[in-house]
Amino acid sequence: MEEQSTLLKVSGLKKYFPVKGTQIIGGKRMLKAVDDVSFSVEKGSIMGVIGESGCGKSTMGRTILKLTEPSGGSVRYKDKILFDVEGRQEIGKKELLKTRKEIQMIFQDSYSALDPRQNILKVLSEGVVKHKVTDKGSVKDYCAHILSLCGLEESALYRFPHEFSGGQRQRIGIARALAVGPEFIVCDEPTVALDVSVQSQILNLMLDLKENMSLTYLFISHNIGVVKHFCDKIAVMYLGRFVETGNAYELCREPLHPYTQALLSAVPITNPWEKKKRIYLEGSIPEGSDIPKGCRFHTRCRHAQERCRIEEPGLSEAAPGRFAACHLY
Amino acid sequence: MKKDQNKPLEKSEHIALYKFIHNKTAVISAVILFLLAAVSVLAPVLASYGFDTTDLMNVRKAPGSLHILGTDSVGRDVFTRILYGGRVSILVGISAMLIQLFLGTLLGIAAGYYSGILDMIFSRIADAIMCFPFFVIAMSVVAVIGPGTFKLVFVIGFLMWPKLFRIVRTEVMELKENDYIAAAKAMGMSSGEIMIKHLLPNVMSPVLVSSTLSVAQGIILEASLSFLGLGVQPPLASWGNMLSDAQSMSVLANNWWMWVPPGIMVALTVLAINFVGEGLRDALDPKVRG
Ligand SMILES: Nc1ncnc2c1ncn2[C@@H]1O[C@H](COP(=O)(O)OP(=O)(O)OP(=O)(O)O)[C@@H](O)[C@H]1O
Ligand SMILES: [Mg+2]
Repeated sequence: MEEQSTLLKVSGLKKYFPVKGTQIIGGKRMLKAVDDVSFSVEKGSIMGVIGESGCGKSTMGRTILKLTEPSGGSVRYKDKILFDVEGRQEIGKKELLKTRKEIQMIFQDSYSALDPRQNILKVLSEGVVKHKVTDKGSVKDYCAHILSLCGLEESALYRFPHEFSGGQRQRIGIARALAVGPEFIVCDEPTVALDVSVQSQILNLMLDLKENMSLTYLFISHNIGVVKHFCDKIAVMYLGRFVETGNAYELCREPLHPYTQALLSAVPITNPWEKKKRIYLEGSIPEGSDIPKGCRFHTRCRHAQERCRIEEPGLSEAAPGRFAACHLY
Repeated sequence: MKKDQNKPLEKSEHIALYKFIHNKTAVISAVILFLLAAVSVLAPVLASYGFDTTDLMNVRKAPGSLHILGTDSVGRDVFTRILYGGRVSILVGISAMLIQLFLGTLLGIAAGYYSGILDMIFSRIADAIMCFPFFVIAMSVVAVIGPGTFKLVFVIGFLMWPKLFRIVRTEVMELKENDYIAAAKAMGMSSGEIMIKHLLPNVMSPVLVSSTLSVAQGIILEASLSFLGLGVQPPLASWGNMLSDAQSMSVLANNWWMWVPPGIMVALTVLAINFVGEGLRDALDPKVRG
């Protein structure tokens, strides 16, 4: 880690969705998709966010980018406050537009991420033209160049999204994000829908691009086995909240939180001499609208005690630089 | 969860064209409509009389060599009036369609995209218009503001937009959940740009189908109101006001040429438009195989 300047700082981020059909006198029930999440991302690093399906990863990514209205908390990018709900602050329109160029997102579902009625040139040039990345005459050449960086031919420019495979579509999604010359990219499970060999191609592409263009990633995944190799920091998310954060290597070598331990035990072993016992999680993930009282993980935890049912543990520093939200530490 | 409608099987426009061309009813209807339109446009060339030329010596004449479809109660040539009437009917139908197209699409996209209070206001207005029987409200409005071709067009167009509005609004509500909308937002696109560049092109197929069908509806409405004397006023010809001659029992019984031809024209045009509309719907629907 050469530079240690904080690029993105998220504090107390919350995103609640009203649950449909619960508008009874007691007030609406809320689905707490993201519930008080704080972290910061250093420039040039990769921060991983891990969690089961439905724990609120995508929602967190979107809220950071201000693609949906936040319910609480604040996000600071460099020296700009994108929003601060409690402090009633919000970035101005002009400033936001400038920031949009610097922060981009790669979406989970490459099918829904590309407009079926736009050819690839239109997909890529939209942001290029908007932010005047290059002068009008050379937009086409520029888009072709970006495509080639992402491993696609120039002829792809005039084809439509449905003419591409999942892997190719994901490359187009990456190209679209890169085209405006961002510094920070939220990668929302960009490889989740792809088969393993294509997955590693896309991952390698993204890592190369990161090095060559000195990017910073917030990398969302449900597979800790995939991200542990290249992330600097990892946060483990459960039901909208971080239950453990820390340096990626240490977190994977010696997970603290029982949930992290269970996730890691499910990763296939690569070293045949390594001994490992699979920890099975009991029960299924509770509904986000019905988060258990006390520690939100206690319903599935092997170590659950009386205290866990009553008192919610906060993230506390269990070891230097390592935080876990568990009464065990 | 995400709709598979966004995964066209092949290049969707080509498939649609292919399916439409292989739909015989739709193609024949399209040809008929084209001929009707051409004949109406060329009315001044094809007709040997003026649409308001009266010949009081030849009143209610049966079809003959002089007047191929006979003459009406004041001696006007029925064939000529059919041609000119076609102009009016088609013009009214298309103009009303354009009005509902504009209102329905614009308000539908805005309501679907912004939801909230805007959606509530537009939806309530649409509901209010739709909850009255179409014809009753049209009649009452015309009765209040008075008859006339222009007024007719506006009344019909204004009464038709809620239907398209609902279709577009529902479609947009679903479309806007797609990630390409989020991606456009992340690019810094404004709401207006998103609506015009991403939502509008993606709702075009249902809009096209619904608007085609609304031309037929407009023509029927014009005919009905004109039949009641609330629409196009004589001496201007329209199929509807030609039919109003058939209000008299003696005409109905003895002078078939005065009301059968305009009746057939209305039926033919409306049927043809409906067939084309349904052909379009099937052609544009990826679930229907050609
Ligand atoms: N627009 C929305 N309205 C209501 N609820 C929503 C909305 N978007 C997401 N949710 C809910 O928020 C929760 C978190 O969803 P999210 O998509 O962020 O999960 P995720 O961690 O990205 O899951 P996955 O790994 O499947 O992508 C889910 O319970 C989901 O149903
Ligand atoms: Mg997700």
